[in-house]
Amino acid sequence: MKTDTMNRQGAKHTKRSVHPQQRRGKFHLESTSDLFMYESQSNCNENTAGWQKNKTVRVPRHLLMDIHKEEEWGWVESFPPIQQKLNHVSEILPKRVMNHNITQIWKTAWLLTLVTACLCGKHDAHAAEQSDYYKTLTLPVPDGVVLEAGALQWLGNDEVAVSTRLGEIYVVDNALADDPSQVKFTRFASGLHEVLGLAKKDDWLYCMQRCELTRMKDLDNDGRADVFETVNDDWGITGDYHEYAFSSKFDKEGNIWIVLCLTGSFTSEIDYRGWCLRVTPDGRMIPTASGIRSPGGIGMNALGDVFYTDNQGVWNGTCGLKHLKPGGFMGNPSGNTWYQLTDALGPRPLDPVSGSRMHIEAAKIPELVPTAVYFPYGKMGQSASGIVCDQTGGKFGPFEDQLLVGDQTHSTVMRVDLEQVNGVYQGACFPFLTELDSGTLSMEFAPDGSLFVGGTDRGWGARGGKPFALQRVVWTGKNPFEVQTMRARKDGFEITFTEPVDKTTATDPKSYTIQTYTYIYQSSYGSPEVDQTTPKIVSVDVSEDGKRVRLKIDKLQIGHVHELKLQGVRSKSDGALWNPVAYYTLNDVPKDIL
Amino acid sequence: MLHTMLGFAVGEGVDPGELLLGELNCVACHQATDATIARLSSKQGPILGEGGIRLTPQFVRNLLMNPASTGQVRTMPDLLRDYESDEKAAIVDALTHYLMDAQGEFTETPAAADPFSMQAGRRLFHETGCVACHEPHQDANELEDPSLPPPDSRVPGEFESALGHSVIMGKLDSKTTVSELARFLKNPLETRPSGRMPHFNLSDIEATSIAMYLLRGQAKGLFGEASELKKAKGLKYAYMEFGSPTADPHGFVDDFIQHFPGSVPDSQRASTHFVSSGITHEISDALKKRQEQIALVFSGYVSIPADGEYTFFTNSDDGSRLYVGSDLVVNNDGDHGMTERNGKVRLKAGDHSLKVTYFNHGGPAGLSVYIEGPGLDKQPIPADWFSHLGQPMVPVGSGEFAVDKTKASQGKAWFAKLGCGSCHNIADASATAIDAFAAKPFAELVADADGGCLSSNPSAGAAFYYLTAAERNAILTTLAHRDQLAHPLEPSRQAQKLMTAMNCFACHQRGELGGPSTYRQQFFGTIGEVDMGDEGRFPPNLSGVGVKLKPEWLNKVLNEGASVRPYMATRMPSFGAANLKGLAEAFVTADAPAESGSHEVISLDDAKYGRKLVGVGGMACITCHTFGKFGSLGIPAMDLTTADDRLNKDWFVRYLKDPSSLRPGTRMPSFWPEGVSVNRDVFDGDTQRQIDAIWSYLNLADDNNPPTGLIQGQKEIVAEGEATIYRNFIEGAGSRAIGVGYPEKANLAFDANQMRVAMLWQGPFIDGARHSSGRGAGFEPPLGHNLVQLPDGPPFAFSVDPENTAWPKLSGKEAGYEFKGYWLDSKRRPKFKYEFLAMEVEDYWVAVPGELDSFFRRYLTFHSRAHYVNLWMRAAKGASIVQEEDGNYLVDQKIRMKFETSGDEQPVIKTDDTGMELLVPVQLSHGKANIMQEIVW
Repeated sequence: MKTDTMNRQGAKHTKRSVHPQQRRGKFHLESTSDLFMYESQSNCNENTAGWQKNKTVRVPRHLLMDIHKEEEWGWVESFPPIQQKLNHVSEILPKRVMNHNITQIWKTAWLLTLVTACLCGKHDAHAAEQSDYYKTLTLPVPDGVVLEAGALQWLGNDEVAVSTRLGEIYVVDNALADDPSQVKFTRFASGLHEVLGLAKKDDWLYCMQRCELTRMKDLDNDGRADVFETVNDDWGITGDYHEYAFSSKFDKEGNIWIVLCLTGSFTSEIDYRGWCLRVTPDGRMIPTASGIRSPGGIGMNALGDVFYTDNQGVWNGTCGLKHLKPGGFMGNPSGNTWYQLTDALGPRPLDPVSGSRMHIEAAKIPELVPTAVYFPYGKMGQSASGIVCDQTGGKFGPFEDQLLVGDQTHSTVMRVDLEQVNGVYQGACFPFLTELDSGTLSMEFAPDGSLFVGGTDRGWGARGGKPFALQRVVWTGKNPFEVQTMRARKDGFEITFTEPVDKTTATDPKSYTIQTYTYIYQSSYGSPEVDQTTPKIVSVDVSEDGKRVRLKIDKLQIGHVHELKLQGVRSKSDGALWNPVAYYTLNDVPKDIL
Repeated sequence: MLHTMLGFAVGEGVDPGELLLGELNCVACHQATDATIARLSSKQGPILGEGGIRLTPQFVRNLLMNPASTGQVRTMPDLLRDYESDEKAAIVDALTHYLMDAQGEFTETPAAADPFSMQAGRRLFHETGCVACHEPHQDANELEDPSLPPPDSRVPGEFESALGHSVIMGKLDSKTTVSELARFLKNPLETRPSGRMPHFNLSDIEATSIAMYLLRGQAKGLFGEASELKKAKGLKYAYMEFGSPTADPHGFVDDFIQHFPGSVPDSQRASTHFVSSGITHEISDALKKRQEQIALVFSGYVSIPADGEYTFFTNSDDGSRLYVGSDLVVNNDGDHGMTERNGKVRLKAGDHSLKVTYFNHGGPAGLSVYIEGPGLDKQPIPADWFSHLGQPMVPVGSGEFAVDKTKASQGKAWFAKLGCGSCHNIADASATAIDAFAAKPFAELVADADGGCLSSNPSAGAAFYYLTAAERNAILTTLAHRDQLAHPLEPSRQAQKLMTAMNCFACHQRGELGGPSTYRQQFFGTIGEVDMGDEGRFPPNLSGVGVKLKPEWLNKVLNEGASVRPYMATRMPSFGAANLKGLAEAFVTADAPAESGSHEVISLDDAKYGRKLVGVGGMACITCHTFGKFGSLGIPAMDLTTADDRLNKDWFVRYLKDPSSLRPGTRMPSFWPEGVSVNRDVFDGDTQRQIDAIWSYLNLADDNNPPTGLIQGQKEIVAEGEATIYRNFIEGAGSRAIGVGYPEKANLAFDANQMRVAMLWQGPFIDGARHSSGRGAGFEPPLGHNLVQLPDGPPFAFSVDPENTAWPKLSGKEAGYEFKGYWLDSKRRPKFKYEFLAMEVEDYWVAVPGELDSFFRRYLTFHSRAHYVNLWMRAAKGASIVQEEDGNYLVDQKIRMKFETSGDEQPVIKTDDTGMELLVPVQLSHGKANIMQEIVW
């Protein structure tokens, strides 16, 4: 049998009249089996878990009758008990399945079968899809809770604290439960001022409010904090909404690092706006670095060095990941007037010259720490946010010790591979997770190695479209075929892959294209890509095991992003790269590695 | 290649000779065919006589004697070059008398020099777009400096390469008066109809401010020269209204208010605009034009008759302040009913600067000011004690000038004979009637004619233009092919030529040409800090504008100016419909939109889905974009409801799919990356259908049907059963405020910068909507009623003689205070903790239900590691504090306080010039002290 394909002109706007078959694809009987076929007709580039393009899902024949009955049953909203179950189901389902189903599904049993079929179905090895590698689950947020997740802190094996932009802190119990009805939200604190940092030490939960670093605890064990101690508030706030403050986890010495946004997006009108401060275990504040514009997150790499993301704007050609080197100047001189308050960083550095390039100014200003990784504007994202290091020991896929960085506008998580060259951090960024529900802000790994991602789009639009979300990304166990690392060599790059490459395509220089560009380092807002070059690929060598490719190019450009496309490279098993692009920021060329 | 012709940067595709023929208005004298005239669209000279701007005789004389000397644009030829100097002087004299006669006398009272207006004018001049064409007078960052640049500060050409071409204004000081220049600026097209100086829609105050700034050389006393600014009788005043949806742009209101603290509440600054200003002889609220949301400031000098101590009084509803010199003598600030306060000051005989600020937020209004002094009973300040700096601004070089009718009639004859009327319209029919001037028709011009205007050596009688050889050659080249001028230009070239002639390229880029020069970019700013990057400050790139905008909209913008980018400081002026005739069509033809692939079908059903997509939960376009009368939830990006009026649908569709391909570097994210929708909920993610639906919605949308999530009502935060805390920016309690709402419906706000409870109020606690929508900008005031403010500044001080010691001003960290947090009790009531030096303070407030309203009991506990003595707490401050019979204290007839302390000393009421204070002893015993304070209001 064959039903109608979707008829757009015929689509009416009352839900009741929309036939699920029409909305979602076509069914037909597979001649060779007892299974009923469903072919998705979505025209989308599907990267999240759930339906895949032209994917065939098999539904046992005995359910056929039920599908015929759908019209008799009417719309599920008429059946509250079913609706309730559907809600329940939706919460453990990947987003795509939810979007397709939660408002349109017509029968519980059918849905469950379908989902099972979908999740367990055999995948096409040639079409790289995010859902092949990473499943996205959405945690059910109770009605009335506005979970604009500003920060996350794991408390126990199955318990995570989530702070919100509206100043609440929720403890989510059974956060890893398969059954969403087991997930429980308890409000631990409220009335705080936009909490964008959480950390835990002993019984204390540390939280970063705009006005201060606070620690709190629950003395009477009623699940709510009742003591709120000010740990440090040695900086100014004017009342401008832009004066955000983000904090890190504890570093090796037990310090918490704080990055303070400028006043507005251009100026520093009160003490230490545009600075990084760290607060010692005994509550003292140490000015640590200057030159910050508008941070979106702060985190540490595997070595414990601290990084933050800074957003495109004045003195920032595009968003970037920057290394908070103590004593360093991160590039935006708007807050450098506060050198007058402290000797901790030595004398005020020279002001950069507007209209120059960062690597040219860095050669003149010893304190200037060049941006470790640029996120090319529009290509990678538009608002870089939270930072987390994958130290799951392989539970989250083949990217151990790499940094994951959010992008709020694009609702994505990017991947960053760093190296130190001549003492300065640099490295590559890659597209990674996409299509999260809201604008990615906070991230934290759960004890089971899954990634929790919090999002918001309030005040700054985000592709995800949901005002807020808390999602969990789980690795399926399948390795994506990806560029794993990209490292600078004196005459090119060495690239490693997560899977052996097909040597024929990988040794063909035509499988690669490379161009470079940089940004104007200037006092006005942002920058276009400038100083473009197109280096020549001189040679390509593939290692014996097929996991390493050495590219010699003529020539590297210091201070530039090297945008490498690997459009022609196939894996040994003839798969395409999931993301055939990398953006390497070259601050310096290694001298001695051949 | 680029040519520079008459200072214009002429790009490839524009014939420089043709441009010059138009700009020099050659066909005004050399009669040409209608087709040629139409194509050249020549620039007319300014209208003279009654219909023009009145010029001074000294300026006219100087200009005619040597047209190049004033630095004017070189379009005015010298027609008297070959006359002997005596004869030339006589002709110029006659022409001057004629023009003075024709324009009529200056009759207005000279404007009084006002440094503030000049500063405002300077901002407007540098920020609204004047300096896109004219030379800036200082760098943008110097505009914050209150001192004005001297009138002759910059040497033209000093930084030419980065600056690019400038239209030279010449020396204006001697040219005309403030009011005439302001009249010109208000509508330049009226007196210079060719639109090279466009119409900026300036308000009266803006035009006068710019005129006063440009003519600041007429008030020499301002610039440190020997003469002082003269004083005139009366005080200057400015009257403002606030609470309007749109305020005056460019920060000059803000600058002004900063200069007059106490005039407009901080929270109202952004919504304030000037209504009127002038001179007054009494200080009162009589100048107001409405009752509520108003502010007045008075400034000038008060002439004190004799040395001695004077008391000034203000009696106002709401707040007022009075400054003498830089001292705040009367502080009667705050929201209150008619309240009189006073202050004393010792003054020497003579003039002292005086400043009074006043506002009324709501309810009844009133303001009176009194003085009392040696031998002087309390009375309003006598009107003849007031004066202000008000040097009359008179054009430089002005002297007596009386029109000599004989000379005037000779001048009229010369005007005709020399052909002045060919370029200059003059409202004097008889002048143009004298037909004495004739030039060769355009068609008969010989390129190499000896002695003509274009020969290297023009003969007597020929107009002498100050042309370079390149300019002359360009004209000759064009004349050699003058037949072609009879045909209309091909559209893309026509667009480029008009954009060059009108200097559109000074602001706009189109193709490879134009856009602000590197030096000038600094003057392109935003109104307020809108966080929109360069898109917020640079006028749009016009590449492909014929595809982007609907022709009707293009014409509307060109003819009427534009205001769809309210955040942009630079204004799009109007150039006069006739002057840009055909430009819109030329854009459209040149950019050749492809045949429309989109259907302009508007579907009501689709629009419902469009509404969802535009709103929160969809693509949330309203996070950044305003929507009709509704502000966005974030930045004020362009109003979505204008999209269908302005944009071609094809462009809209392409733009939504890939914004940065049409507007490189835009911060607009793509919600359909690579054509694939990020939203699968609507139409299964069908990109075309979604965009069609948004288009339908934007076509049909009005204020009655805004997108989902845009209207956010009040979100009252309610203390239910237990206290609730709200830490955020609270108006009146600072940036580190902690609001506490108690279930008993009494509320407080603690200021953790100063370590004090700043405000108490009753009823509803606070509205959380502001901080939970959009970016959450601004300070939120308390929501309830019966608001009282507690003393500002530090809570504690040491004094052996508290009744005669001024309370210290230094507060917060600088004074040794540290906030330590709070503990919540079983009803979630906070016990605030802070430190003062070596003393720990616990400050615990409990709301107690009363007969009518609840009141507070406050429990203060002190633990000190040092033994402090003579330590006092300031519990209240007011105009009057009295101890009642039962031992309670009554503050300002409103707040009743009672104390129980662990020590035996009693509170003290201190009285001084500024009012009264209630000081409570903190008596430590074994390092401990307790105070219970009851506050009923």
